[in-house]
Parts: sequence; structure tokens; C-alpha cells
Amino acid sequence: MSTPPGERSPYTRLVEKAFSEAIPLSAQLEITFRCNHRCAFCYNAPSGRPEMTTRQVCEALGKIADLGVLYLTLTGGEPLCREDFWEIASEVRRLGMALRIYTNGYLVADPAVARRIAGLRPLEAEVSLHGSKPGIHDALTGVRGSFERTVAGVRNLRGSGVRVQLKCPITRLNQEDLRAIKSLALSLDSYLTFDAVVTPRDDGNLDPLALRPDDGFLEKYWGEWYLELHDGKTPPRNEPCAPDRVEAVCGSGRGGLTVDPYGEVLPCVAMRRSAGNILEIETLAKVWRESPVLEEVRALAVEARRRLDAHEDGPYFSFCMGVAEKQTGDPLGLYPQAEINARAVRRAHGRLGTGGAAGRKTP
Amino acid sequence: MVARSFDANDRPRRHPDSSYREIGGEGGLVVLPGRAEVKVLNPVGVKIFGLLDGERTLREIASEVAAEFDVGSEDALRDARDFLSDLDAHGMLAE
Repeated sequence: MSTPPGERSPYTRLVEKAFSEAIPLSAQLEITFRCNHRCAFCYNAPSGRPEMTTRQVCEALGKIADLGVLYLTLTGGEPLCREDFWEIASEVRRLGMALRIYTNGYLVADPAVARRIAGLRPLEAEVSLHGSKPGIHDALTGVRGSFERTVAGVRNLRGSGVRVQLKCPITRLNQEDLRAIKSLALSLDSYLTFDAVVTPRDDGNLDPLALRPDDGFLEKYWGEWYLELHDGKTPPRNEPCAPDRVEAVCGSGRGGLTVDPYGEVLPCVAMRRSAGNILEIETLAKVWRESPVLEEVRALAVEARRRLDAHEDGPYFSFCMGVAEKQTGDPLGLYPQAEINARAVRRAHGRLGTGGAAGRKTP
Repeated sequence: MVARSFDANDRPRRHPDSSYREIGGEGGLVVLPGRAEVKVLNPVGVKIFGLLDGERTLREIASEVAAEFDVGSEDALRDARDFLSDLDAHGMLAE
């Protein structure tokens, strides 16, 4: 039964409740920083500490499950680079959490790997795609042959019945290729999402920003291109991971959490402030309730929303406190990409005459 | 998919691939790989879904629901039957 116009669906109401009361529905577990790609724009910054052992990862998973998390994403680095990936993924399912796997797809070119993933009954696999052809994709991954293997991997996953979400970070190398990437995604029977923000490395290194898309391109992207690439939907207003009626700018430390390969509990993948090490705490619930780090991040997200609401382009911002902190030293600081995108989204709504009807299909 | 009907002595079991989460006493979500939809449950539905372990009979489940919520045993049994048929129609029960 569909929800009458103007009313919030039961699903929306539940998600809003979880969000506003900081009930975590999702978690990302970075099981390794090892990777078989060398992406110039990667945000990972391994410290060289020993990563969690199999036993420790399973202990972490048990604590995450006890917290009541529904969706668990295994990510990295490249999660399939861990020899014990299968044991870890099986543990996620044994604990009753819905499994997502975020991979670059390189190793899934082996059909046996895809079949084994299908056997885990994941909710979906998220696969990074950087171009519609080898030249662009391989230039961005730094690995010759990676395009062919990733595309083969996606075909293998789809052939094994696994739902695939393709994820494409927009860079200046692939910005003019987005339409062709969309066509490729359709031919692969896979859902595609774009990310227009290139983030600094987790250690604050700004080198990845050299690959951010051109400002002129973003003006084009957030208008007519956006409609075309998103099946007629208008550009989003506000941070898409925050429900409309919630006072916070995003779900950092609220809708979910991230655990890094060393066991550090983080408010989200972008906000790299540790609330404690998951191997040194008795229960994650206690940290989730009482951590001053998480409490501060939740308060910052509310303050960020308040400040953006006072800004001329406020309703059009997709604002990430993690990026802000790394780029400006202040989690509430406006960083150039956020401002450029917000301005472009506002102008696009004006040009398209959509009056800010974000995320909806044009007539 | 044609939903099965359930007898009070049946021992229904939730789909082994399903995952669910109760949210703040107001209901919960169920997801199942291979299905795009997320099933939204009310508080009674979440309670029942959590009891679908293949060991309890439907009558035992209805009794637990009746004890926790303000409802008679027979009403609880009838509602639980309807609810199970709905879950079955969505593929969320084990065969």
C-alpha cells in the first residue's frame, strides 16, 4: 500500500526516529587497508599499526551486532585482499546482519569468487567504477587491466544473482565520461551512484584534491547532466544521508559508525576521531551512549545544520564535517567544494524551474 | 507468490537470510537479499518476527503476544495468522 501524498511513509518515520534518537542502523567495518589498486584520490592513510586478526575482527563484529546494527558493510582498502575474508563475511551473516561488500571488483573477475560471494547471500555488492573504458578507469586506479577485470567482476556478480551498486567518484579525468559510464552501468544491469566530492586523505594530506572535478564542469553537472544521469531526478538539497526532518546535517555518530582495521571506533568513515578501541571496551553500547567524542560530533552536526540554514545557499549544501575538518581544520568550516556545489545546485534549481523540489522527478 | 495459511500448531520460521532490527519500541525493519523492498513492521510485528524460530508453535507465539500487548489470545492468534500469510507473500518465511 502506498503512502498518501504529503504523508511520511512508515519507513521514513522509523528511519527519522532512528536518526533523531541516534539508534545506529548501519556500520562500516574496514577490515584492511591493503589494496590491489593504487588510486591517486584514495582517502585511506594506513598508519602501519598491526591490523586486527581474524579472531579480533569476529570479536568486533559480535560487539557491533550486540549494538543492534542492521546493515554491515565490509570495506577497506580492498576487503577481498584479506585471506580470511570468507570467514569474516560468514560471521556477519551468522550474527544476523545484512551484509554489503564494498569492493573494487578486481578479484571478482574470477567467477568462482563471484559464486562464493553469492553464497554469502549479501544484500548487495558495491563496486567502484571510474570510467567507461580502460584508459580512464586504469589511469585512476593506477593498475593496467583493472577496467576489464572490474567489468568482468560485475558481470560475474550479476550472473550469480548478486545485486550490484556501482559507485563512481567524479574526478577531472572522468568528468566528461559520465554519460558513457551511465550507459555501461545500464548494460551491466546495475544501479549507479556518483559522488562529486573528492576528499582529502584521512591524515589530512590534500593531494587527492588535485583530481577534483573542474568548477565549470560542476555547474553543468548539477543541472541538465544531473537530470539525465539520475533518470530525471533533480539535484538533492542538504546532505542526502540526513532525513529532512532531522536537525543534524548528517548521520555521523548518529545513524551509524565505522570501525577501522585497527579497531578504532569512528563516528563515520569521514570523521576520523576515535571514540575508543573496540577490542578494549566491554560493550559498544556503552561507548555509543557515553562517549564524549560521539556526543561532540552529534552536537557539531546540529550546529552545522544551524549555520548552513543561515547561509544563502544553505538548503543546497551537501556538507561533510569530516572533509571540512581535514580541509579547513574546523569541522564546521566551509570548504570550497561544498560551496561550489551548493551554489551550482541552487543555480540549477533556478534554471530548471524546480523551486527546490529536490530529489523528485521532473514532470 | 501464493501465501500459505497457517495452523495454530505450525512452527513457522523466519527466512534464514533475513535480517531485522527493532527501532525504539515503535516498530522495526526486515530486509532480505534479492529483494529491493524493506519490510516495515509495527511493534507487534517485530515481536512476532523475533519469535519465528521454527521451535515455537503459532499458538505459543500468539500467547506471548497476548501477554505483552493488550489483546485476547484468540484475537492474537487470528492476527498472527494474517501477519504470517503477509510475510509469506513477501517471501520472508522459510519454506
